[in-house]
Amino acid sequence: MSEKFKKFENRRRTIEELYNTLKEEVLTAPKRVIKRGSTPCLFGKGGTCCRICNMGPCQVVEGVEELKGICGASPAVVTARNFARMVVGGASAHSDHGRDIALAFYETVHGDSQFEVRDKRKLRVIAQALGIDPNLPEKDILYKVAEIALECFGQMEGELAFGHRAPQPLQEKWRKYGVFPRGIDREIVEILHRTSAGIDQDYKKILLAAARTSLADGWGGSMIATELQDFLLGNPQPIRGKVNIGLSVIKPDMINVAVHGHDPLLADALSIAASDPEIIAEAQKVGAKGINLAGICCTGNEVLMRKGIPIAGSFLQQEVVIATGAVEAVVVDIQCIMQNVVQIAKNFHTEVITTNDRARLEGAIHIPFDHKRPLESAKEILKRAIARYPLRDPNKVRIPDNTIDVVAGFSTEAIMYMMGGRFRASFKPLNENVINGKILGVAAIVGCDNYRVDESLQVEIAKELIANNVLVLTTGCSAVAMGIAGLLSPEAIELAGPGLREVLEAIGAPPVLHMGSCVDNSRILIAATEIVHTGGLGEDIYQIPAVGAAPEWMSEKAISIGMYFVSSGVQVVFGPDFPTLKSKEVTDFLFYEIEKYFGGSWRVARTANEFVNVMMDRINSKRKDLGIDKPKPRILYDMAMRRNLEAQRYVSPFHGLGCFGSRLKVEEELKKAA
Amino acid sequence: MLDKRARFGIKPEPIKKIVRNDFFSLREEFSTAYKNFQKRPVVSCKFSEGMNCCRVCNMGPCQVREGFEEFKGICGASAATVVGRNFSRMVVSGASAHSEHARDILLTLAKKVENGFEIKNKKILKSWAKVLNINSDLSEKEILSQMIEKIFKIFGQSEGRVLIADLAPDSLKEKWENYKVFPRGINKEIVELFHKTTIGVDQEYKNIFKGAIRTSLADGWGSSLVATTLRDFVFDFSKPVEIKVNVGLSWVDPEKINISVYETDPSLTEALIEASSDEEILKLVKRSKAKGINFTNVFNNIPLIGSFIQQEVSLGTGLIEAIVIGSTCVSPNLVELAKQYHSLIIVTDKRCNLEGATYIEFDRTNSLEIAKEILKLAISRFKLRDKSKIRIPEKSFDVKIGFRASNVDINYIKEKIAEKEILGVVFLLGCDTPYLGEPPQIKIAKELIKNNILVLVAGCTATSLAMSGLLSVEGLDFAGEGLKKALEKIEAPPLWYLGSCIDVPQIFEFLKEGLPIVAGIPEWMSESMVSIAMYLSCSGIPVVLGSELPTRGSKKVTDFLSKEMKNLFGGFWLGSKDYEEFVKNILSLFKN
Repeated sequence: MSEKFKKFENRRRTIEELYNTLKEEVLTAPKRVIKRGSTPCLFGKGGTCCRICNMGPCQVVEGVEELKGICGASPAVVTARNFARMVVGGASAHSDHGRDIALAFYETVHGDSQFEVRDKRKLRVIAQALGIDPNLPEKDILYKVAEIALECFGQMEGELAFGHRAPQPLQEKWRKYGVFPRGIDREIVEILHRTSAGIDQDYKKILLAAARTSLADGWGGSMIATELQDFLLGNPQPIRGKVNIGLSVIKPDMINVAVHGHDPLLADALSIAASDPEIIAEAQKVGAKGINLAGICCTGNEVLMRKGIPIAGSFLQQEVVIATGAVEAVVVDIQCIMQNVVQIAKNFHTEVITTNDRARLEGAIHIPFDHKRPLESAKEILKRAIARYPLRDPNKVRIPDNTIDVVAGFSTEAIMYMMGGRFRASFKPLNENVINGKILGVAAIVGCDNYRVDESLQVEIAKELIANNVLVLTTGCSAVAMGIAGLLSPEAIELAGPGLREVLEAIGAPPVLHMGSCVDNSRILIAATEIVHTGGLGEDIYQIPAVGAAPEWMSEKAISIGMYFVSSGVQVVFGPDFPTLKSKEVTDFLFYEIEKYFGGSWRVARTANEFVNVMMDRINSKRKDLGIDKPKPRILYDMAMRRNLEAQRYVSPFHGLGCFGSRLKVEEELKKAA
Repeated sequence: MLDKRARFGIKPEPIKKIVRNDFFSLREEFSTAYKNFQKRPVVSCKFSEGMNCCRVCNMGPCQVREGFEEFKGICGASAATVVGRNFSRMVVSGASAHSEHARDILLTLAKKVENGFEIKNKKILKSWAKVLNINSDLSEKEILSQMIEKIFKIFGQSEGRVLIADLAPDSLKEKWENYKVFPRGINKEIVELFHKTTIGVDQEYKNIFKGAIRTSLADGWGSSLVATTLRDFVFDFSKPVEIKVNVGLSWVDPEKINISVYETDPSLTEALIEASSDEEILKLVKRSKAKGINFTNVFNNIPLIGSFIQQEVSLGTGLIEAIVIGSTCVSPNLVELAKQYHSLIIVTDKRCNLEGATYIEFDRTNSLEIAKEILKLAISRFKLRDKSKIRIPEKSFDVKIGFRASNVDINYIKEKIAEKEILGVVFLLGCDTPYLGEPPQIKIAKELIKNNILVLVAGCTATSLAMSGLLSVEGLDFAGEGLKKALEKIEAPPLWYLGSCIDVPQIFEFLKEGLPIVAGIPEWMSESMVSIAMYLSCSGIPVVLGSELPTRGSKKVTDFLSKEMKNLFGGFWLGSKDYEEFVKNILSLFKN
């Protein structure tokens, strides 16, 4: 057994090897953890440091009257406010990203940009979800989608269009507790107002408002980003690729450009420009064979699943990619770029190029990426990289060859196609196998990776879950970690339990499905909804035997993601710590009481063992609630029962459409058929 | 600056006699915030105070120190990045508070326009119609409804321009365009700036500041300007309003049912006033044996926003039946304090909840019924008054409020400045914070007018000053010779009250007239003050703080605020060690 696992342990080796090549005085992030003269402040960590007014900052302690805030704010209020502001951080990041894509889409549709709408297959499905008549001509639909997507950000009243894609009972719950998001920016601004000094001082109300803001992220900003990216760049389909640093990822005889961040438009333009004859000629002029792209972080995920461009590493490896000494440029867009990247790059010939006006780095050069003329911008960036190639010091080049093959790009549509083919695309096989117990449930392991976590927690958890016949979905930096551990390759199926293995072998998929970047968590929401609509596993998301986890969360985005899953009925397990632990009241609300509202709840776990226990407990208890935990005895039906079977069930208008709405009933087609 | 003495248990100085009145003695007795301050066994964390504690990701929190490589964040974030991010997040929340306020007022106005009403300030309407590209030949109602629609759009738009900011003088606009900080949309700037300050996004402090500047401009020349201007449509400010009812605690009437209303949106106040003459309510009042209903801080239908501390103090009279709160700064101490009396705290805004307070949601479509419900509750408390706890205050002052550039003779003031009788104009604003003794604002204001400076005031600072009598013409006794002579002629007090903190953009009208203005913030508490100070300085007004700059965790950032901003926009930030230095700093800015 242990032999088999060892085969998949190579991330640590790559990282250590490369860190060792750096001089002692170069401070890498893990070294900074050790060298810091102080530990993280416990007030900050536990959520009980209030900094929102100038009477403070006040450190508050629950249960000690003297240690309330000066204004009298209770620790629960302070912690809830801090938590809500983390949700805001995440939601604003995803939404601002989504807005950028929506603007680019709008420009593209109106012919103001060099991008094109490459994949229109999903158009009618999305049109219907946005409340647009799918019978309209394609062009009109495109205009309307672009318009409504942008409107979602600015609208102040009403209900967010994509929220209507959720299962009916869930929508009812949102309405009942007043958390149906009204507009993306609106919710962010409102909760910031709520959490400023002396406004909302009832921690439950603050937390419910945080739920609303997070829903505006998951069913709003993130979902818009995902869907529109699918239009512009194509809906991801399973594709072979490579992850981790190695000779086939960072090529010694080529100009290596690492793309890092979250916005796929830039990376896409770069990949097109890299095969431009003009650029190749210039590259050859300096003695290189051409341009090679490698992804880091979520930009990496986006290009891997759409273009098969290899991923050099996750958030955790952004420094070591540079330490190979063979990277000419790190091109960054937005989010999760460590300022340290510039410091490390100084030790090599590597240039750090920022491209988004939102995200500049001290000491980096800035070449703005213009959505209206992506190719020109991309070429300018690549030329800059080409100019660095002659400065490469061959003595410093060191590329450990630990690359692993993966299969990525399992979008919701791809999974449905895989399970049912072109004409019966659906989640039915999954539901059936969950009901018959071959698959126990579904777990999503998402999120970041974190320098303060010693072991690769998420990989351990995933291994144990698949061994227990749980299908694992993954996104973001977790997905990269899974890839490097070998879990995204079909061969890893030997780690799966017998039931899961049987099903996966039949459809030919790895045991851990790579669903995309961190905005693509919205894909999981849609998948969960489809599973509900497919039937047999309850009427609402909270009933399915599914569970989420972010074992190494780092960014505020993870908190927003967690919150929208919880508010959509999924239990999520975070670790190794949680930002409200110093207030029992808030923690109790988030861990237990919120379950009464939406059916989902938060949990915290520290070790892989704890994680798996919590997650398996949830899956098993949900199976029990559904009555599928043991084989069913045969029931003899009488007439009344049969009639009951035929009773009308509510069918969501978004269900049963096939992968790309092939079964969407369009009047024209109906007429043709007649 | 806060009174740090409180933390070390040193006894405060005795109050100077001249301003001693009931308000201040009550404040000493009832300000729980002050007591909380004294009781706290810990001092504020130095990292948090200097803004160099980074909490934007779960690898930390990281305390960072400028100049120490080991004390950068784990991700390598420099002190300037961390301080810039923290500072920007304060701007963001200040701006979002104002954005929400402004939208509320816009909603109220939209309702009023629907029902048909005549606006009071036609001149403004014209200039606004112009910048918003509305045909001024249309009927007033048509212009108004188009205007409202267009302004709503500005809140939600993702690109373009905040058109109202075009009201700024061309020289300023040019500076903004050159530095690429002209705001594009109100909520858009807020969301983008928050995005910029999350982990691993913007890590060049000057670029972060660009976002902060842009967001604050979207506040000052966007939402706050909308809020204050639209409110002026509703109220008549053709001349400063003389308040016949005395400010001070004698606004409480011992024989009536006293209700305080704290709300920036006028519709709640209006509904309450309307409901108070409803027959059903009158009957109930009669039965309760009270002589009527008294709205303690409402004058000519204009609620005077009570300060944070004042809210606590007024409860101490034992005569307040109810405090009705919309969305504004509220101290949570209020609930605790109210428990000692018969007073009821009623919150009406769904964004603004207080644990333990009564919640009645205010709904614009059903405003009268809700107002009646609130009044009924208040009336029912009247009989619960505890006679032994009643303290009836005596002394009080008459004040003038509602000064606008349009309703005073600016040319006269300009003349007097040219003749050196008036040295200049100082705009005092800010919050009040818990302290004992004579509030420093009063000391400062007196010092300033003694030096022949005309003082404009807004926000909670103004409330403190109102209690001291400096807002009345008698206040001229404290003024220097030149100022006294100049103002006596036009019968104006030495301090001109502009309004609450949302009315700060009124200063721009004075600025456009070419007056030399310096803003002074003796004390600040709320994040909205950071946003305000930022947009004032970006509009070319130097801002002097009564404390050191909040960005002291990074010299780079502090230098940007205090030096580089001067070259960019003409305005800048200046910190002071204490109040003496604060006054000295302000005066020095008029010397050259």
